[in-house]
Amino acid sequence: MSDVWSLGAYERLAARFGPVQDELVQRAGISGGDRVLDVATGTGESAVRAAKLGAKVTAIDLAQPMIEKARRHAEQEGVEIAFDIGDAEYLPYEDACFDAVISNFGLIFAPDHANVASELARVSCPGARLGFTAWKPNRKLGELYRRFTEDPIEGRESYEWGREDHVEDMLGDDFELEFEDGTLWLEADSGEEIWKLFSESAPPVIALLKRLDQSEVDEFHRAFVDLYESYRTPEGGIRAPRRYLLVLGRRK
Amino acid sequence: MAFEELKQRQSVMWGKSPFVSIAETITDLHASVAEAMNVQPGERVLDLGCGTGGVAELIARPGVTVAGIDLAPGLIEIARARAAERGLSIDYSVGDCENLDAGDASFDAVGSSVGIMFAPDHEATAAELGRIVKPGGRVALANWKPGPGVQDIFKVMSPFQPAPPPSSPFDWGNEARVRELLGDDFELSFETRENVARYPSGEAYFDDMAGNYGPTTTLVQGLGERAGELRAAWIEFFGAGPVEHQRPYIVVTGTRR
Repeated sequence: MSDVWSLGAYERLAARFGPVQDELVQRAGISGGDRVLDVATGTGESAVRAAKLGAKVTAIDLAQPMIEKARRHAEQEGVEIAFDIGDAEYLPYEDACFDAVISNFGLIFAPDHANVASELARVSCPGARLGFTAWKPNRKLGELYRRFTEDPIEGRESYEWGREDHVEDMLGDDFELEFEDGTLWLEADSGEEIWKLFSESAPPVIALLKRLDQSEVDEFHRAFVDLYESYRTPEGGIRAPRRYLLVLGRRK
Repeated sequence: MAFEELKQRQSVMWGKSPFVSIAETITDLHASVAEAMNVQPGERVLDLGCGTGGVAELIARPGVTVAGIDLAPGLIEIARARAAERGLSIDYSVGDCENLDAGDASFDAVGSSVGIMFAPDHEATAAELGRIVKPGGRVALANWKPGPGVQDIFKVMSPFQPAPPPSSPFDWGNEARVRELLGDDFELSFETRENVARYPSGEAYFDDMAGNYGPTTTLVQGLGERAGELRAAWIEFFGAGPVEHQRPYIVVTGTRR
């Protein structure tokens, strides 16, 4: 897992998720003085946003290169964040030590959902807020990936977190939950531009490409570009929706 | 959910929108049914699940007695107005294809263009077809096939639906299942054809369906603010650019034993 997420320039992809990170931090009600944990922080975008609001932020990720980029990002933005390398399934923190726990398309990639759920509950203090985002299944992308690999490239189960009933099963005993649907519109001049973004910045795509031979890479490249070209609007550029679920919770 | 309650909702659902612009995208299905009905002068024939009357209008001519029945009063009203405009004599009425007022063996031919497939109790509908068609009479159905095609639309909508339907309408697009349903009463033959829906963009496709296709209109109205998410899911599936949606269907032709 940590190998996969060490690949590529994830910060460029994460920058595209800016509107979602803004929404997440705002809807999780982060404010000055809150003790906030950002789980699977990646290059640190949500953690930095929370810190700018005056929160006391801790951020953790499995992949060392991610943490290094996140640390530099925090320095550039002039905020102080405590960074740790570690696993969302086994968080290295005391019980009930956070007022809010957030994760932007992060914790959903940990393989054992029940472990993650119990850790989220454990480190949250009573009344703490939970906020995370999860991709919803995308049939067209799913079909494309399945042509080249038997396993969904973002982990077998990550899209389960995009289903309300699954989130209720996992977290409903410990958190009061609310759900909101959201759409991130991926905009670009061409399918090729989106290919460049994902093939250089999306760790699961990069990991898949490493496993394919050159002719398969070429075929995957063509199919990927074709898929995104189908989102070319009559007015011109590409505008592709990627839907997600925003989960908001309060620790019981 | 009880079938009765579902049908009550369906009768409202299918009448929620004018449907006429959708009917224009499936005129090939209406023509397939009309042709397979092979209507002869002097016959008494029925367009069942007639919607706005697409099949009935094609088969109406002097000397033929044409009836049209649909569950949705809103669609029957439009069908009546269209017949009046066109000077056609068609006897339209509101009714349920699972439980028809018509007498036994009262029709020489019964047709349905993607109509009866949406009634929830498939066995009841099949039994009614067997009952109302005369020995030697014909049944002609156009039914959407399962798999890529119109089922895509229902799959895109399904995560937004409050409850899954109790039966799949696309069973009527499956030859083996239709043989089970109608094979005892009818000598059957099957043919697969393809309808193509063309729209300038994924959004235009959504807007047409949201405005004119009862199941989509009803869903969109119930979703309120979340309707934007259904639109996004639709565009995610069909793309933003020009749409050519291939929608296969089967034409079922049967002769009453």
